[in-house]
Amino acid sequence: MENFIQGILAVSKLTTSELSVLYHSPLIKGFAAGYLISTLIYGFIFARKRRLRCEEIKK
Amino acid sequence: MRRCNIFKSAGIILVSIFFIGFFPAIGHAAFSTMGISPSVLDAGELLNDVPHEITVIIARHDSSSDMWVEVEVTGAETNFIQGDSEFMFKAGESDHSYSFIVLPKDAPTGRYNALIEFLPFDIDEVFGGGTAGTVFRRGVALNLGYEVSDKQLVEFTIKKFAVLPTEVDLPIVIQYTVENTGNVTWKPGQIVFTIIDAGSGNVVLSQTIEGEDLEEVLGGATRVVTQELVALSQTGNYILNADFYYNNDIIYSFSEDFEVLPAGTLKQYGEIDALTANKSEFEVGETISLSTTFTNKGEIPVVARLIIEVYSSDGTLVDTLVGSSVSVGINEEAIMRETTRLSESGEYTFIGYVEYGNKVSGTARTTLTVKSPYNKFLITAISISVIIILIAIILLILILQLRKGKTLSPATAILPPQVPVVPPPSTFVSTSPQASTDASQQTPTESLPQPSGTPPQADIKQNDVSESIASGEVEKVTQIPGEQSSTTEAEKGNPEEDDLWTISL
Repeated sequence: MENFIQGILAVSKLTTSELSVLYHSPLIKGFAAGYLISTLIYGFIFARKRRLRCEEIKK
Repeated sequence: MRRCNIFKSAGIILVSIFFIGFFPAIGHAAFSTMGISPSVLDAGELLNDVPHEITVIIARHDSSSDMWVEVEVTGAETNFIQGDSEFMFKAGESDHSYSFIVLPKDAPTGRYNALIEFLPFDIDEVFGGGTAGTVFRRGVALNLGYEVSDKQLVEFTIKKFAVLPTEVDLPIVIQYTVENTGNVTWKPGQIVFTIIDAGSGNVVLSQTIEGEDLEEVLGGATRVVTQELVALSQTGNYILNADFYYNNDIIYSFSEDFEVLPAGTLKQYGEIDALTANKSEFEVGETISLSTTFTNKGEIPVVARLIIEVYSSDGTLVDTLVGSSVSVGINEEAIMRETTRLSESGEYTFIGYVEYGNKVSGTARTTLTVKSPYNKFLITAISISVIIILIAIILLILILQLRKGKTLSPATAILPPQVPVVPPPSTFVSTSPQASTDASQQTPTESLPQPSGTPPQADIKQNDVSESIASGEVEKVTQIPGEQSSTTEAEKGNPEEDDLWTISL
């Protein structure tokens, strides 16, 4: 956990305080949730599309 | 390149999970404009192993509600700076005096600097009672500079000596202010008090208070010292003389008239606010800071001290915290704070009251929960497990996608985008140009026989296949009519495998 936070701080060049602010920001939470959900939905749709296409090819 | 993208996506997903809030909180949002005085401070020359106190005033613009402030120290040798890691502005309080200690230890002589940040956060955020709804954290910072030296400096000032009004059989209370501008801890060696009857001039009482009974004042600190003397049993006007000794020399003398009033003349009355803690839940061994405000609503300044009794959930008295005495003037408020640590988990009730003069205030109570660190570990473990499961699902999806794409790439490479299926053998048997033309004019479904047990019909046209043959993309597609049944059997046996073998790159 500590390493993960340190990694975010190192990559983002944020200070602990700035990261803390972002962490508690409802806007950032919304974006993060949106990104995660949309990524999962995209993953499932894409996988299903590929599967259907493959089945179609095999037939 | 593709693998790089996968790692990048996984990284963003991890960060997303982090910001959604699976991870424990690492800080707090805040929302108030603040100020500090002074913002730059040079503490001068300090000694190793000698504490030096520094006080700054933190002010805030919006004093409508309670507000906690976190204190963060950055810079070189931050362990030299010792102070509360947080404090609270109570509702209506716009200024707060924050004191901390600078204690160099085994430090080489030289110049040192530190930045002390005061960062506010919302109390609801701490208690998990809601969101701050604000994204900006506006704090203030103190730029502190000091020099570690081996030169002792003894400098002090005594001022504002006063005798507080008193009654018969109530102790005489004196106050004086010590301003220690040196770099060593200081207190008088001895104070000799003499009380003289103002009418007769006779010495009524003489009392000596030795240095060990007096309060020390740290270097850099300014302290109002309150001292109780004996009580007088007769009313009247008196003169109090005080001589302060240091190294057997009188360094300060003061004389003041005062009156001892009849009993009951001065009303003593004080009230306390609710007893509040800096958090509602603590871990075992964590410092619990409890505070309340005492208001002197009487007609006489009083010396007051906070007493907090700690009870466990079964009503057993666990501890009694006794605060230091502070003098509270008429209509003045004093914030009284006590800290403790509890070694066992459970629910504890804290009952606080203030002893002042010869009276006791009403009580205030609060209940806090002390938890074992195991709970935090469990929450963290569950959080991490959820994250690992999510990551595993995402990686599984990505791996499945990659595998499917890899297996099917040869077949998809030669087929038009809309024609992904290889036609059944009956289509390839026909070699007549007329038949090809007819087939091209018909839909695949119409042109092909539909024997039971044969594979489903493909929507490829003969022209496309002929072109594939002409271009050499398709091999082994010719069939002898007599062998049709064997070909059909092969297809029936494993049509998918045949599809793949029929077409080559």
